[in-house]
Amino acid sequence: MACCVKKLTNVLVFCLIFLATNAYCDDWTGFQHDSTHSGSSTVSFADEFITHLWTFSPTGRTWNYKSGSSVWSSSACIVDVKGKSIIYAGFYNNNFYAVDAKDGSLIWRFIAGNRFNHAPVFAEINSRPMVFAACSDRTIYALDALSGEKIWGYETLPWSYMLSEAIVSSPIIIRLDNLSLLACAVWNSSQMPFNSFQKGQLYVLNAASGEKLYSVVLSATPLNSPCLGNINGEPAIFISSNDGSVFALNAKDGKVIWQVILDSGLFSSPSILSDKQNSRIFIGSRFGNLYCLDAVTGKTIWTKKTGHAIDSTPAIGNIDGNAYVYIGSYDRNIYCFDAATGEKVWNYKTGDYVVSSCALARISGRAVVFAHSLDNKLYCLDGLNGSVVWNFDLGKLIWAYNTRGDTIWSSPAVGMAGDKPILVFPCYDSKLYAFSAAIGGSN
Amino acid sequence: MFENLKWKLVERPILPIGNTYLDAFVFLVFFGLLFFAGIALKNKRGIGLRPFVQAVTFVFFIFIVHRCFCALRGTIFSFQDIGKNDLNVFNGLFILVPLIAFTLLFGRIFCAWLCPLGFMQEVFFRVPFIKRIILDPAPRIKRLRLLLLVAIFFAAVFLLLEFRPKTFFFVQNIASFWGLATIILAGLFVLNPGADLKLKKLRYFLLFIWLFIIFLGIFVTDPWCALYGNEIDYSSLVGLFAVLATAAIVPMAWCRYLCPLGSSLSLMAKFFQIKIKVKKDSVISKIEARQICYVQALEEKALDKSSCLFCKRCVEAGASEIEEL
Repeated sequence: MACCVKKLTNVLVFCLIFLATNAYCDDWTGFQHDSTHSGSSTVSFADEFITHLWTFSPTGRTWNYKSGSSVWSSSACIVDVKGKSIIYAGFYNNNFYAVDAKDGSLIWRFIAGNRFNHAPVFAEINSRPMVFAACSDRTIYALDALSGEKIWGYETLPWSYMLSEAIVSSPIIIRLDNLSLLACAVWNSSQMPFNSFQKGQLYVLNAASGEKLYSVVLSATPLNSPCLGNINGEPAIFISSNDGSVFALNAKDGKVIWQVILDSGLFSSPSILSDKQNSRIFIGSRFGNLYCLDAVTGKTIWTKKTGHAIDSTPAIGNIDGNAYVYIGSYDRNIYCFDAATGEKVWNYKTGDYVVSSCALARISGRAVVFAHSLDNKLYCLDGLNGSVVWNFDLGKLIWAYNTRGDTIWSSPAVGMAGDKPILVFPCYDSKLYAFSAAIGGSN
Repeated sequence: MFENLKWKLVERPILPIGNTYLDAFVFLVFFGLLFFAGIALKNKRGIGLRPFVQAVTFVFFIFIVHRCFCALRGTIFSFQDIGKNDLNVFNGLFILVPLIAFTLLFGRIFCAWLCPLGFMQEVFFRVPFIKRIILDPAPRIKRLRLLLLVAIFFAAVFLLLEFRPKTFFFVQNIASFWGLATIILAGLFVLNPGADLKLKKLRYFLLFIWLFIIFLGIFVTDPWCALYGNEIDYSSLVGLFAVLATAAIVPMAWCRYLCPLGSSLSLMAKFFQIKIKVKKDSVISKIEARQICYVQALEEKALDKSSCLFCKRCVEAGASEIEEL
């Protein structure tokens, strides 16, 4: 009997350790979950009765919307920092917030010189939990994840009267030869007479010190968020630009390995699917094509046309051994394609444009997709057949109109608040909403 | 069913400009076609080439390349990007500059020789059965035309309500509202053909509203956006349906009364260098003038220069002559 109890205890301890480890591994650490932009989490909600948990409102009021402005907060990341579940998100009010994932209370905030339009990234560098965020004030910040203290800030260009607001991307962390690198794209433009310039540049910095290792000018237009893959075993950065190019760069020195020009402007960031055989890149275009490219050569493996432009970043999920690509389109549909063949598995038509990217998770072991549509709803769809599992009405937009393509819409993120799975959505009403299943869940 | 249908033959730039999606080949073809049309216009036998140029343009821009001529919205938006995003500015102006230059030289040559939407509308007028209905002045045919327009109107309203987005209802549906306006104006024309000139003057007012909406920053779509396949918006599709269906009842109603690009080109066309004049000895009746001119720019003894598309059909029919170069 005692032996059985001991065995049972061992099993329980193992399970707890496994859960704890897994919880850490499955943090939503940056834009679209990880550096490959998979958007896929293994977090599982216990049941489909997902309810509103809390709302974080940074100022209690909302500023006027102006055309060209970002949505009110960037996509969030949800991580477990030394046993504490914290959500990190930048806001329109030039503030970067760390919020307790359990109750939505403010832990700390950091004030920068401009808005935070893009998702931050979390990483432990030399055992120190750090969060990195790029700001429209042309600076990449490294903050202490627990205290919010600024560790370093890298200004990509000194301030001048003629500079426009920078367009930055979500950074990613690259682990390379015991060195942690931070890759982030920044677009700066100067309207100086006779000496104007527009530069979309990829910066790679030492994540520990903020020292610039190299930078590459890739385009005259803004760049989207980079993602990390590998080419023939060597780490490679994949990045797209608004002028229609996808680049593969050697992560070590920034040399361009290949560049392909697609059909139209690219506002979608690439996602990578790596398996034993090959690595493939998925990206959507303004012409409405979803591309699957070979990561080694950049050649097109397949394309699928949706009814309208695609700005969202593809999310990649693995369900029962099959890989699927989930993407939203301006044709109002959320699509699921077979990653291997490009065959459409299902599509679900919402009431308006689907601009933000999908987040994948599970409900009672069943794969689900969380996506936001401009019909003001947050949807949860079945990952295999696209049927609606749940939806939440976020309320009307607080402005009359936004010029298409001007606004950066945030995407949902899934993580754990202690032992409870949560869904976080930074909304266009300047609030951060958190949802959870009524009876908890697992990771 | 249509998922694997490949609409566009070429989906990548053939001659990329500065390693971007912009395609020099598209611009070169556009420029070349305008130039060819201009040469053909000068030539006495040029009229025979017009359907050829129209067909080439239609096939090239609709089925071969994926670029769209966003001559108004794209241009205005690109002006806002001067000094900020040179690529957008270049993209917006590359189409507009040759368009203005050729319009100043040859009038609304783009409308008559190149515009794919104009070509599609014109096709209806070339079908003998439809042409007979369009031109038949009998009261019962007039009633039938009105009835058909009412049916098209309700069909367009149904499509608009069926496919409308849940949010931003008005602003995202401007193309469909303009499509509905085409049907209404065409109906007014059927009721009173004599009001054609007054209705045509409305296009400048409507152009002003259109430009004002773009200046507000609203992403205005046009029925022709859907044609190019680059901007298949629901409102564009509904607008396209309304425009094409109306063209089967009232020839080229969109070009006559609403087309924002056509209206702005017609303002520039007042300064064009080639002039077409109705012959002094011309003895054509109103009915004959209607049969010759699609857009009713040709009257018994006069030519409405701002409406003239320079198709040269009246010159070929011997009613007009090219006055000077």
